[in-house]
Amino acid sequence: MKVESPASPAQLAEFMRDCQNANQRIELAGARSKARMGGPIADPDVRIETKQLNHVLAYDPRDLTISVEAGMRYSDLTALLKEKKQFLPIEPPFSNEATIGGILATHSSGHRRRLFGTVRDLVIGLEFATLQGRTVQSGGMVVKNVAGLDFAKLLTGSFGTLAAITKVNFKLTPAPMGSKTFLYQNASASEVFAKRNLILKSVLQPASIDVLNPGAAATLGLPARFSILVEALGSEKVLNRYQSELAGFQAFDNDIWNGIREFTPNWLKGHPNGHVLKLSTQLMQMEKVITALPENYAAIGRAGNGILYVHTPAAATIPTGVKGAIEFSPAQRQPAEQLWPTPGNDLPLMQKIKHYFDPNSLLNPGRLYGRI
Amino acid sequence: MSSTVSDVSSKKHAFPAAARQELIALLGERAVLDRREDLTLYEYDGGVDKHRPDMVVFPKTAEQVKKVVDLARKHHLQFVGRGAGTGLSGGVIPRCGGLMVSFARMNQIEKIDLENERTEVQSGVVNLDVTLAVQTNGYFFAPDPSSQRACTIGGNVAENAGGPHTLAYGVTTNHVMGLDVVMPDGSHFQTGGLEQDLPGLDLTGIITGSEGTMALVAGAKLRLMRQPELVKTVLAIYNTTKDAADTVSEITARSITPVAVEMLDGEMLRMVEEATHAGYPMDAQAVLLIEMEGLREAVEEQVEQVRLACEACHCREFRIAKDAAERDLLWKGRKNAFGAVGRLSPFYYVQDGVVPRTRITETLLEIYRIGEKYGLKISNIFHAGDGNMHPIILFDARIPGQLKAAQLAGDEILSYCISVGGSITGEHGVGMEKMELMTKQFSEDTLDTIKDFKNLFDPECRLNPGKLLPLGKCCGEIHQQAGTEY
Repeated sequence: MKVESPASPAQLAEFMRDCQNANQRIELAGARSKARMGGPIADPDVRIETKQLNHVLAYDPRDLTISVEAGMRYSDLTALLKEKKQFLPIEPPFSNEATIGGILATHSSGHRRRLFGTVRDLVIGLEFATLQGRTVQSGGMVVKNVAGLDFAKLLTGSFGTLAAITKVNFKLTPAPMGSKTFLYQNASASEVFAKRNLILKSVLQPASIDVLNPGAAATLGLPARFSILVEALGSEKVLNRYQSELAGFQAFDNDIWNGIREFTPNWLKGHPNGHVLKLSTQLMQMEKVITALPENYAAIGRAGNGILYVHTPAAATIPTGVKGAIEFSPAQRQPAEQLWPTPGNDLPLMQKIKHYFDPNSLLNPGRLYGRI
Repeated sequence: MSSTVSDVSSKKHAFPAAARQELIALLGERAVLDRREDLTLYEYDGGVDKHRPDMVVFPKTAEQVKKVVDLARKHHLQFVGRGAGTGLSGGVIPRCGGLMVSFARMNQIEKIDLENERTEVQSGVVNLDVTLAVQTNGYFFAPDPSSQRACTIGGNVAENAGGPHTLAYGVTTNHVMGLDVVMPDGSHFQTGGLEQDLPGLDLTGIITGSEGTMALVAGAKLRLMRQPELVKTVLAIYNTTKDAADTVSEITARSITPVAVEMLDGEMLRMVEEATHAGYPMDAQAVLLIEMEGLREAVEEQVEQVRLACEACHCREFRIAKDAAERDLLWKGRKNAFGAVGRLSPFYYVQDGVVPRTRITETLLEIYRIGEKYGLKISNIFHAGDGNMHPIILFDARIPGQLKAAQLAGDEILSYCISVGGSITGEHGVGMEKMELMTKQFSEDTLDTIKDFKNLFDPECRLNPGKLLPLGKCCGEIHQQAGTEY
C-alpha cells in the first residue's frame, strides 16, 4: 500500500483527485488511533495521512476563536490554549494521539458535553478536499454564520466517507476557574438514577453527569456498584454551592475523569476481541438499558445526554429496541446489519449524498458501519 | 420598502386549472387562495424584495404536504414553503411565481416530554409558543429571534435562526434533534430523532439553514432547556460608541461569559426610547444591554466582573435591572426596535454582517462612513457579543435612487465585513438579497459544491428556485426556465 503525506491542503486535494482518476481505494488517516472504529476499511490502495497538516493557521485569543489544520493533535492544541487560559471542551478518547480531523470525522465526544455540547456545536468553520480535487469551505472564523450550506455538520461523524477534512475553526471557551467532582454509589441503579433525575430537574448546571455500571466502576478502581459522577466548574463559591446541593454525594478526585475519558482505549488494549457499543437512548430510557446488561459488561452513560458506551469482553450485539451502533470491533469485518442494525428511513438520502461525493466507493470503503 | 424583482420565470400560460381542482380536492376550498388581492399578502417578507405566488395552499399534515409536492411535480409547478414571512433576506419570495405552501395551519405542538427534555412540533408552531407551553414547568426553547412572537419553527430551521441569547446557547441547529421533511421529489423522510448522536450522516444538520432550498420541513423534534436560577440584566451607558464596542472585547478578554451582549448606538437608542419608553438615556452615544444567567453565585460574580469591564472602558452609568418588570422593559426596547424605526422612517433596510469580536469598533466607524458616502442615515442595534452587526439603513423609497443607494450601502458594509474575516450573514440568511455577495465570501469550488448539492435533491429546480447562490451558479431554471411551462 502506498502512503502519501501531503504538505498542504491543496496537495491533499490533488492526491484525492489523482486517486479518483486512477480508481484507487483510499484510507484517510490522522493518527490512526481509532483504526478499529466504525467498521474496518476494506483493502485500501493508498493511505493519505494528515500528519504534516499540523499547523495553527490563526489564533487571536481576544476573539476566542482558532483555526488549525486537520492533522494537528488534540493534545498539542489543548496545551497551546492552556497557555492563554482558554480551552476546547471536547475531552475525546485517545486524547494524546487523536487529531482534530479524526475527532471530527468520528464525532468523538467526552464527559463535558452536557454543558458544552460536542464538536458539532463547537466548530464554526471547516474546509475539506473532495475526490473531484475541490477545496470546499463551510462557515468561517466568526461565531455566528449562516452563509452557505452547513457542510461541517455533514462531515462531522461521516467517518471520512465523503471527503477529507483539511482545516477546522473552533470557538473557544475561557478556562474554568476551578472544578470539583462528586461521587455517589449505590447497589441499586434506580437510586443512582433518582439522584440524576434530581440534578436534571434542579437549577444546577454541571459540566458532566456520568453514570457507571458496577463493571465500569470496578475497572476504574471504585467499589463495584452503580455510580454517578458529577463535575461542576466555576469559582469556589459556585463549587461550594454544588457541595451543599448534592446531598449524599462525596467530593472525589478530579483525576477520575482521565480514566473516564480514556476508558474505551484502555478497554480495547485489554480486550483484543472486545466490542464497544455506542447506544443513543432517551434520558429516561437509560436506566432500563444499563440494568439489562450482563454483569461482565462495563458501561458508562452520559446521563445528561442519553449516550451509553457499553464495553464488552467479546462479540456482542445492539440490544433489541435500542438505537445505536457497534462503535469499535475487532479488525475482521462484521456484517453491516450487525454493526448498525436499525438505520432510519433516511438511509437512502445518506446513500445518495455518499454517491455524489464518492460515486465509486473509493473513500474509506467499509466505514460508517458498512452501510453508506 | 419594497422592490419588485424582475420576473425571472417565463410564464406562458395561466396556472393550470387541473392543478387548482386537484389541490382543492385534496385540501378543501378554504385551504387554497388564488385571488389576486389575497395573493398580494403573500408576495413579501421582512426584506425588500417581493413577487406574488400564483396560489397559496394551507396543508394541515405532513401527509398533505407530501401530496401537495406530488401534485406540484405532476403539473410542473415550482413551489416554496412559508412560515410567518418574517424572514429578512427574501427566503420565501416565490421569485418564479408558482405554488406557495403555507405552514400557518400546521401549528400543533404534538408532544411535550419534559423528563427527556424534548418537544415535537409541527413546523408552523410559533417560536415563542414553544417556550410559553413549557415555561411554567421551568423549561424554555433557546433560539429567540426578535420576531419570536410571530416566526415559526419551520422558518427558524430553514434560516438557522439566532437571537440575542444564542451567544450562550447556540443557534437553531444546536437545538433541533430531528426533522420531518418532504424532499422536492416527493419523498418523505424523518431525519435524526429524539436521541443524540444517531449513527449515519447528519441530515438534520445539513438541512437546517439550507434556507428552504433542500426540503420542505413539516415538523421538528426540539431540545428543551432548564431555566436558570437567576437572570440579571444590566444597562451600561456610554458617551462614545468606541467605548461601548471596546467593552465587548474587554468582557471577552476577562473570560466573562454573559448569555447576551446587545448594543444600540445613539441614533438607535433615541428611536427606541421614543417608541417604547424603556428607560434608555436620550443623550448617550451607545448603550450595552448585557445579560447573565445561571446559578445565583455565578451570576452575582459575573455582574461584578462585567461592572469592572464596563468601568474600565469609561462607561458613564451602570444600571442593574432591579426586577423582572424592569428587565422586560429593557428587552422590550431591544426586541421592538424595528417597530420603533418604522415610526420615523417607513422604509428601512436591515443588514446582518458578522465580524470578529475584536473588529466591532472599526466596523461601526466604517458603517458610519458608508452612510455619509451615500447620504443615508444608518443606525445600529446588534448582537455585539457575537460580532453580529445589524446596521439599519433608513431611506425613502419615494425619492428616486434612494432604494438603490440603500442596497449599495448594504453591499458595501457586507464587503467590509468579509474583508476583516467576517461573514455576510449571521442569522438572516443569504436568500435572494445577498446571492451575488457569495462570490466574495466563498471559493468557486464551494459555490459549485453547493450548486451540485441543490441539483442532487432537486434536479428540476422546483423548490424555492433562485436563492442562495449567485444567479450564474443557480440551478438552470433561471436561464432555461425548466419547469415553468405552465
